[in-house]
Amino acid sequence: MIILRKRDRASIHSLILGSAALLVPRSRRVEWLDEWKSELWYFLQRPDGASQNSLWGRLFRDKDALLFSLGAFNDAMWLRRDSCLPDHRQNLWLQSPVNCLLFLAAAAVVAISFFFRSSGPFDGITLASHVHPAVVFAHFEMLAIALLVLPSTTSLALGEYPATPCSPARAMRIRRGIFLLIKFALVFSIVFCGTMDLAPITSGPATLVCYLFAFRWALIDQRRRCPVCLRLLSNPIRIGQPSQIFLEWHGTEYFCTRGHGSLCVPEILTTFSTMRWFDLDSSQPKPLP
Amino acid sequence: MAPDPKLSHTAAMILQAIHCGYIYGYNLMETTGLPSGTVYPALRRLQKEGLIRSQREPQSVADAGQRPTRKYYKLTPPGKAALRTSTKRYPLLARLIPSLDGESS
Repeated sequence: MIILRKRDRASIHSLILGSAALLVPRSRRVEWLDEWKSELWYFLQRPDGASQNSLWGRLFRDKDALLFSLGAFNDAMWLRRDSCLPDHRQNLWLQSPVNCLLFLAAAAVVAISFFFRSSGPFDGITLASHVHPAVVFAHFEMLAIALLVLPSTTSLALGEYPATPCSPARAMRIRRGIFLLIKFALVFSIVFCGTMDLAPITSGPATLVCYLFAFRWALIDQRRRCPVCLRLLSNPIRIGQPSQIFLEWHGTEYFCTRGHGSLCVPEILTTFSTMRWFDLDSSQPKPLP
Repeated sequence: MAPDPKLSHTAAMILQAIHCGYIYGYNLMETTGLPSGTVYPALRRLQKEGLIRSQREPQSVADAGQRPTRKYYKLTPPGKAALRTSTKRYPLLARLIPSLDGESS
């Protein structure tokens, strides 16, 4: 009976590891699976003391082993993501706020130039029809609805940045606000001109969805930027376990590659648990001995 | 790799644990109190950034102990430099992880 239960447990772990292995790139799958099976073996061999023989001891042991095995999915996902992006440094230029604005500006120029064209692939679409009051009014209706729906798709809060001696200066905070405003303006131009250009083949709801996605992206992008240098934060590390959300902090920690600080983003944003920024400037006061 | 890599607290804690002699994945998990889903991806990232290197122990050693082979991790010179910088940034780091030989690290 006991042997059967042990076999069952072993098969559950093997099943979990085998499922996670499917996410790992084929070239590294066998090695990865061997590694995890080996680590699991050592995990199961760990000394637990007297509690090992009690019912509760066994239950906790099984639960811990299960959580350990489930961690394989995170590792497998990391390898998968890593293989999809052969060189992360290729995307580094997008981290810069200037490059981000330049990219949006270029997209906006393309959209605006199409908007002001005299004729296009869709015959009969001219500037006159674009600026027809009824069309523009319907468009702004969609914009208003998008702004009303936006809070239900993402938090409007831009994170909690407690004031510390090394918090960004006021000028930097203003710069951050200006960056957000420019981003919103460019995103609005892109969506407005783009959806007007494609008006014959798009409907009102499509315009609504475009605005929602665009504004949502602008807010999320803003929150994922360092408040000091405005570069995108990187090196995400997941902390905590979803099953223990009420017992411990659970979320992702991002880090500024220039060392200005780290951002802790809870898995579930609530009014009492929001994103929190921690300054790590070299001028930070040393803790008391 | 960046000339002066900045590390998050979690990554620095893992480096410190390796420095203190906890060189196996499972040991690192137990010492730092971090779940497996955090430690193993973090180890891969640190390895990719050249701060640590890993090696599997010889099969003969594992066979002699009738156990599977283990992968162990060691700090590289850039990893040691990054840890020194991180220790200045996180002064309590050295106190969090007790050294295996009982000495203060």
